[in-house]
Amino acid sequence: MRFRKYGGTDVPPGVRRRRFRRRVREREKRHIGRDGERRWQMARPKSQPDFVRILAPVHVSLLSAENRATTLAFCRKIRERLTISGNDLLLDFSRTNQLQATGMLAVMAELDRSVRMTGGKRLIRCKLPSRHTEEGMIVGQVLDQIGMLELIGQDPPIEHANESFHESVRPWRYATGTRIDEKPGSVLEEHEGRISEAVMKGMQKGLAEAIVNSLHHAYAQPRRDGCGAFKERRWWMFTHETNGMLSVIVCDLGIGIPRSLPLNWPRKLLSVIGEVIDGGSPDVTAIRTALILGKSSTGNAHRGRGLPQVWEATQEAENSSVGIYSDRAYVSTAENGDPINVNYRDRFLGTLVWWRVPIEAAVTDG
Amino acid sequence: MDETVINIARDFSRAPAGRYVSDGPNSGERFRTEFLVPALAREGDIVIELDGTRAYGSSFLEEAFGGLVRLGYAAADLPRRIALRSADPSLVTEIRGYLA
Repeated sequence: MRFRKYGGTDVPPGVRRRRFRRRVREREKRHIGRDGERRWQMARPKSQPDFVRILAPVHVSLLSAENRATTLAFCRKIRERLTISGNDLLLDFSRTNQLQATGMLAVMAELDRSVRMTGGKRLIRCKLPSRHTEEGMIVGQVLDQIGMLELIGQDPPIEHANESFHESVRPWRYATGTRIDEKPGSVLEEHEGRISEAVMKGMQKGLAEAIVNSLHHAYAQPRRDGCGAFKERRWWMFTHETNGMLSVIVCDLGIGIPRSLPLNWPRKLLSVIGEVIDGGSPDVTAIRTALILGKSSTGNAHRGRGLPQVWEATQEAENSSVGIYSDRAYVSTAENGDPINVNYRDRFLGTLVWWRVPIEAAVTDG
Repeated sequence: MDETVINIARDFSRAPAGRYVSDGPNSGERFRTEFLVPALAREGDIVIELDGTRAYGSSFLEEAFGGLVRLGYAAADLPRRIALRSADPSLVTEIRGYLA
């Protein structure tokens, strides 16, 4: 038998093959560890699912530009892998140590929509972080509490059956739907008594109008996400209590305010108002314009009056805040009342509105 | 003449929301067609009790009440026949605006 010389030693072909495969595996492992997607398929039995691992961000959040970029990239990979490539997915949350509500709603909505688009035919599994750290344990509990594990048909860790969830996890509530019925208001009502009646009414009104806006405007055209048409007008929402604040977040995965505004208003009018506002970027200007147009009386009551009600939903509460993400833009108001206008590089394909109300202050208010 | 009393929370829904029937089961369009239009077809005034619901969005109110004007009911006649009762005066003012 002829062996090739290898480092001064004769190496049989089988050993060479194994060494080659090990080198490929290790190189692939390093590549995936750097947030890369799998490039080579290893031989596997056909009966086994063809999992593609997608690494979740360390911080799932839309707040900072860096976290927003990784969170939206995670959403995009979920969407494309499921609906375009048709892969089975392993969502790897093993490095994740912080879930912020707006970012998590974006992920949950994208996953839910992709599962519905594929008719639930693809197998999805979550790899949870180690339970040896408190952050890891909380991340696992949140994914269970908000129903992500149930959505993908994965049994929760056995420990969840016998333990009381962390106090920061228990108040998470999630709902989704395609119509505006009792459901979103009921989720909000679970926090009744934690905020004043006036604030509760304002938030109920804002929540209902945000959902109606989604139903009427967000799905007027295809989303242009490269995943084909999907004609479902769906909204998603979270409520969450943390650090004495009640957060209510609602989102759609539609065309966003910058694209829907010109469908409802004359372009000339928009450009005139846009010149006055000058939000620094077209997307920010579009949201600021929508807030002004909704307030003004134009004689056509059908159009866009809801957004100001969304914006002013929490004005009864002191130290409350509101923010709107749509496409590249984020608008909010600073504590001193100054407008916050941010234009990001990455696109959030949809609109997400959040309100935050201080629980204690609101109760004394009422 | 008898007056028709409609308590929205009791007779219609505690969670009125949405404009069109396609938006949801408690929309302004459904309230208008099933409650306001039949009541206006009868003789007598209409009293609408607004309290007791979670909240009213402008889309629900505009479609329910502003929709009457679009249907051809005389804007001058409607405020005379429809009495609005609520502890929240701003709500009454808003609806009056849609009826004008």
